[in-house]
Amino acid sequence: MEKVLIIIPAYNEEKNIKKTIDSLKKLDVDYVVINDGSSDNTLSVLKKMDANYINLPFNMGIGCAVQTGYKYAYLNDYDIAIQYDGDGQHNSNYIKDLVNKINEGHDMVIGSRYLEKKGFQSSFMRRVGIKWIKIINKILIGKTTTDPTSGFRACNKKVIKFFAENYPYDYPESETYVITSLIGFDIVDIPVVMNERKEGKSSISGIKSAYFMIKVTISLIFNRVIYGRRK
Amino acid sequence: MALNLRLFLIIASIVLFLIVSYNVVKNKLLVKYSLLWILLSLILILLSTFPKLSFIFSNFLGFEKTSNFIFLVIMAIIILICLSYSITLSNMNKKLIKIVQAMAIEEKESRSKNEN
Repeated sequence: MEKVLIIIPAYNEEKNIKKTIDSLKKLDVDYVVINDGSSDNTLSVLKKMDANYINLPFNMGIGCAVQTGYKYAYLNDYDIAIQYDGDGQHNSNYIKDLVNKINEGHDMVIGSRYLEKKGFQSSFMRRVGIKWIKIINKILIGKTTTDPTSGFRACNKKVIKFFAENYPYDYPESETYVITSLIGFDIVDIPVVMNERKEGKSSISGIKSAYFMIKVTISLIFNRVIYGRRK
Repeated sequence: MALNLRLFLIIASIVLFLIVSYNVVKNKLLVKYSLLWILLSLILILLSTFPKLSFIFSNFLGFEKTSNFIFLVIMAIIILICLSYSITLSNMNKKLIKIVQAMAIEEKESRSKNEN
């Protein structure tokens, strides 16, 4: 039986994190929460429920938090790592599907909410951003995933090792897709249904989204240059 | 150029050079971060001592006024210094990330060991 680790990045998720962890208990998987220097009571909630967690001493951003999870997975010799948001957006029923797809021989599997267009489809601004990233992906690497910003994804040992060593820090979901594609990993989408965030605000909102789009575009172009050459 | 102005410029650029050197000697400034500052102060000393040099270069490059040429030289070096800061900062940031991750994983492992 393969060893599966669920990586849960959590920044100020005191209201959601317990539910998220409880939803994983019925599955036969390990998990690790990465508390990304939350300023609320996330840490004490984790301590109180005796959760398996890693605590970053201050807020380092999603990329750093997720990479910590991949490093932990690599050090503890996990076969499959799955990124799973701490805010209740992701549904644990699909974890099995992600694992199955990896077992079919794919390197990375992305849980996409746009493949069957069911469930929460995200805000209008976010969808515009996603559309834009898809266009950029097509231009840069000639293909795209249906959900480039999805943080619900699984990867195998090869990719765990790669991510433990190289991981983008700013808007990692879109960047990792381009990077892993250029490296030559085999990536597929599977349909998932996502929920609306239960509590707290999404990390991308308002004026930030314009900044996000400019920054993501520039990073993707640079990634194309950096990793395109390595081939 | 008036002699007092020239004298003033020479003294000012020597003072800049001394401030930079003093901080290196006192270990407040690492040599590798002082290099561009030293370059800047040496160029300033050179140009103020031999103003003819700047006339020659400025005419050669087609500047309307020599002062514009000098401003451009100084600005170019300051831009380089700023860029070097961004590079250093990015380096520091990468190292910080590695330290934080290693420390956090270490802390987690010692915690798990204590529990067992």
